[in-house]
Amino acid sequence: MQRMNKLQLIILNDVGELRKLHIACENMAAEWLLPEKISMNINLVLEEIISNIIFYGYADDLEHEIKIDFRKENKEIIISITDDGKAFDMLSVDVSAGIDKPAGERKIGGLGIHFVKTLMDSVEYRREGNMNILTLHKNI
Amino acid sequence: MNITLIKVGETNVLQIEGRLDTTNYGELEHHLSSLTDNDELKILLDLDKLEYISSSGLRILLMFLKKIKAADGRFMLCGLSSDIREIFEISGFINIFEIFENQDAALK
Repeated sequence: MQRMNKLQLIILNDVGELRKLHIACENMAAEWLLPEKISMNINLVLEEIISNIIFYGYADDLEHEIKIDFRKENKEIIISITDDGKAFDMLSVDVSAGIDKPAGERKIGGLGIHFVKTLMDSVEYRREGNMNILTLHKNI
Repeated sequence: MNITLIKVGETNVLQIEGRLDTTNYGELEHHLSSLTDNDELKILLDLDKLEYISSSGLRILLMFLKKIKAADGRFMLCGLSSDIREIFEISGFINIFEIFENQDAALK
């Protein structure tokens, strides 16, 4: 059977839509025979990125589409997330500080971006017109 | 996600099954608030059947750890799979929570 090397998911800026990520990641893992851990880590990172976009990305209350393109190339999964929200480069946010702090000093927040930077092998951001494009690379 | 509460001696054991994420962390928050509001401050979360946790879930755990510690209670975790443990390690949570292998070890 010929396996596809590209998959796409479009989700709306609504928290309930995050459930679709889980299904998409399971489908991706089945299609590309990925270990459960890789699929879980990709799911986790996408949840952080997409929820950030949904919660903080839009200045209006209108419906917006967030496009997620999955691509498999040799030993790598490449995922692009495209949204028309406010310009935001999460790579410029320093969130590593605080990870070693005791409970009382830990801030509640900032973890999501830390996961994205830690669990992926590389992450690139660019702004094209009014679109944010974040590209994730995960070695498999 | 399914949450089951069992009382073992003075400890409230919450078994969490399935996925804990941005879409449902409020359910766990509700269960934990019900306990702490009633001064039930000895809590063990059994994560043996937890398949997935995102930062939203971790945030709730940290929030209640702080709250319960401040009230001289005890908030413990057990049953972390290797994948879930890795998420705790990356977040630095592995060092701030009391984590046990299983319920028996935690309830000793």
